[in-house]
Amino acid sequence: MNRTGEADGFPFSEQELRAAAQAVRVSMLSSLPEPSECRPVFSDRFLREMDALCRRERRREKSRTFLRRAAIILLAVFTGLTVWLAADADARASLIRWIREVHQSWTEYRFSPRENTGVLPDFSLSRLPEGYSLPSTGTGSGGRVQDGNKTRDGDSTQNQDGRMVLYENPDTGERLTFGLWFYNSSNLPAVFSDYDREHHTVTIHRVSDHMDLVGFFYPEYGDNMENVLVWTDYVRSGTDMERELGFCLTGRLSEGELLELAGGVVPSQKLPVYELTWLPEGYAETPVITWRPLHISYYENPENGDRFSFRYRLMNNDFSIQVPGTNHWDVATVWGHPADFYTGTVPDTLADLWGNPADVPTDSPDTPPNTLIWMDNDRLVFVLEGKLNRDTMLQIAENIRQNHQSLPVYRIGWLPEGYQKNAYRLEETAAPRYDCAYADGGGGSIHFLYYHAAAERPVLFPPSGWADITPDELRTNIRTARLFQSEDGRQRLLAWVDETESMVFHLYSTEDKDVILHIADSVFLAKTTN
Amino acid sequence: MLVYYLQMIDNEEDKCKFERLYLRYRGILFAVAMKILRNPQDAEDAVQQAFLSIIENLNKISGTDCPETRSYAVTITERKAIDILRARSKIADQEFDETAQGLEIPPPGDSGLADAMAKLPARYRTVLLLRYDNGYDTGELAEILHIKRESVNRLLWRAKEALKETIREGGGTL
Repeated sequence: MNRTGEADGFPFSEQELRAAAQAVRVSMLSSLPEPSECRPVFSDRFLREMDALCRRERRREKSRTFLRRAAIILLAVFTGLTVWLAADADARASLIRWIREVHQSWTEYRFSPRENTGVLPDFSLSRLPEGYSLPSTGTGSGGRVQDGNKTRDGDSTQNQDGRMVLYENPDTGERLTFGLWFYNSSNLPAVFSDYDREHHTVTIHRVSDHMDLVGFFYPEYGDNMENVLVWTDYVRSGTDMERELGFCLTGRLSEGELLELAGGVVPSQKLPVYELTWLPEGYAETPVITWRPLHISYYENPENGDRFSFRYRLMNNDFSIQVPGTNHWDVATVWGHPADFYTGTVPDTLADLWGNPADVPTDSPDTPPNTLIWMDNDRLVFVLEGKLNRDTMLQIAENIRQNHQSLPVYRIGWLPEGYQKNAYRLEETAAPRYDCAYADGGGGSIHFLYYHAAAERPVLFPPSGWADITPDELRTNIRTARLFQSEDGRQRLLAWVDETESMVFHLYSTEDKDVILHIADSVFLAKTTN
Repeated sequence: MLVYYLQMIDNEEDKCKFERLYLRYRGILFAVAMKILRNPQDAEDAVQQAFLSIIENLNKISGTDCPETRSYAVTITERKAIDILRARSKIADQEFDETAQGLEIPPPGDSGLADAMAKLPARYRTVLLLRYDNGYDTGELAEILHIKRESVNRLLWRAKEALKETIREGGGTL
């Protein structure tokens, strides 16, 4: 029991552990002599070998120093750092967060860690056992969640320290709960420190990174006599420092099934929704899938094949962005935030010819793409990359808007035999796209996604190299429908627009045309809003 | 104007970071190793291995002359010295009680968590100090200790369990 009288896993907070560790360090060092008081006589062998080590390190540091000096000179030329920092407290704050390192042929952006925000990271199951429903989280898809003493459709139970989601198999009435907590939380379930009940150690193989975690399995635990699997892990969310989380799965599933579910627990990182509301003439969005936690969309001009990409993601300590080139010709602002514009690294011959690389025509086959990169206050970093000039990129950027629309819920009513939801792709119902993948385990795949159509944008042209194989009959029945096939003939894409609901649908599959059309026919509106 | 963070100001002092660490701490690390090994040749080996480990993780060390860095160097040396003791006892075919090895840390005097942490065997104390005083995450700990990340998780868990047990044994409440 902890000091508040509740059972918990580890009763001391991170701050208390830090304070204790600091006290131990002080005590340890004070029991030792000062470094200056220690003057042992070392052997010749030791001195010789350490001297060689020092010389080697001196040589290594010299080459690192050269590159850093080049970077510092470059930065000094382009910034009035001292004056700006003195004037702008926000700049000093962002200085701590946003590190830009100039290397010989690329520039790297990354974050330095901050203190913990205290926000519980979000994790979810990447698959559910047969017959169990995903939580509704407001979509009404059939999952039910527990909130105190009552069950209701909608959000999971969550407080500052923990989150628990209840899933149900409507056919059998069986339940499955998945919960996570800060490990030093007073709300941590008692099972985490229940050493008296029968349990044994198990190994959870995490599929995402093939790491093994230690867990404890309790058979027929508690009043409900359900099997319980608990484990802990150290996780970092965003730019927070690492925290220890406790995870728990409870249900009438076997040990093996619970272990498999545990191995598929993945971080849920919902991105806010940003869309381009202005495009240069001739460009439209290509139907390309994006994955959390990164959003990527591509835009193509079908007449000349030019493309550009729009990417954004949450920055965290483990991630850096590398921008090819160091020809940083201009700084700019987007939405009031500082932005960097890079021209692609220009071959020497072209640079000589044109003098100023910024004058090199962007449609020259010799020119690599240009890049515009900026960050907002919420650690979202945005990148536009393509053969567009600075002013066009800035115009696109200034017309990016956050989409607050929620999605209605569409579901597939029929699938060919053998298909199940892919273990590694989740439905994402909070983003502007609903995105769900299925596989039959034998190489067959189906990918269903939909999103709001932007009225100004023309839609429905294929990924590069795909052929339009739309049957005439389909064009007649659904004006907007198009069927495309990949160059190698292995994949097909059926895309259509529900003009009444202003929704765009995409169905990618390895199945043949008739199967895809059958699947598309079965799509139905399950709920009007999230 | 974009903000740039100059990660390291380049000057003459920073040019030989390792050398400064070596010259500053070689004496005290030798003293630490001698406390455990009581043999100057073995103590020199432990110090050398500790500095090799410091080189591998040089980028994780900020200041060369701060308590955290000194603690880091002492902790690593203690660990290397215990490794040599363990190897020595294997060669001599002797039993090795790891919990009895390492530095004796005077209790900080809080009659609670800090006192319990000071009493822990060196391997548990090391990982707790590196994590909670030096602030290394589990990935960095895995690199420093040359173990897998999942082993770091297990070690941290065991260290905390040992902390709880030590507090209970001392009559404290959790």
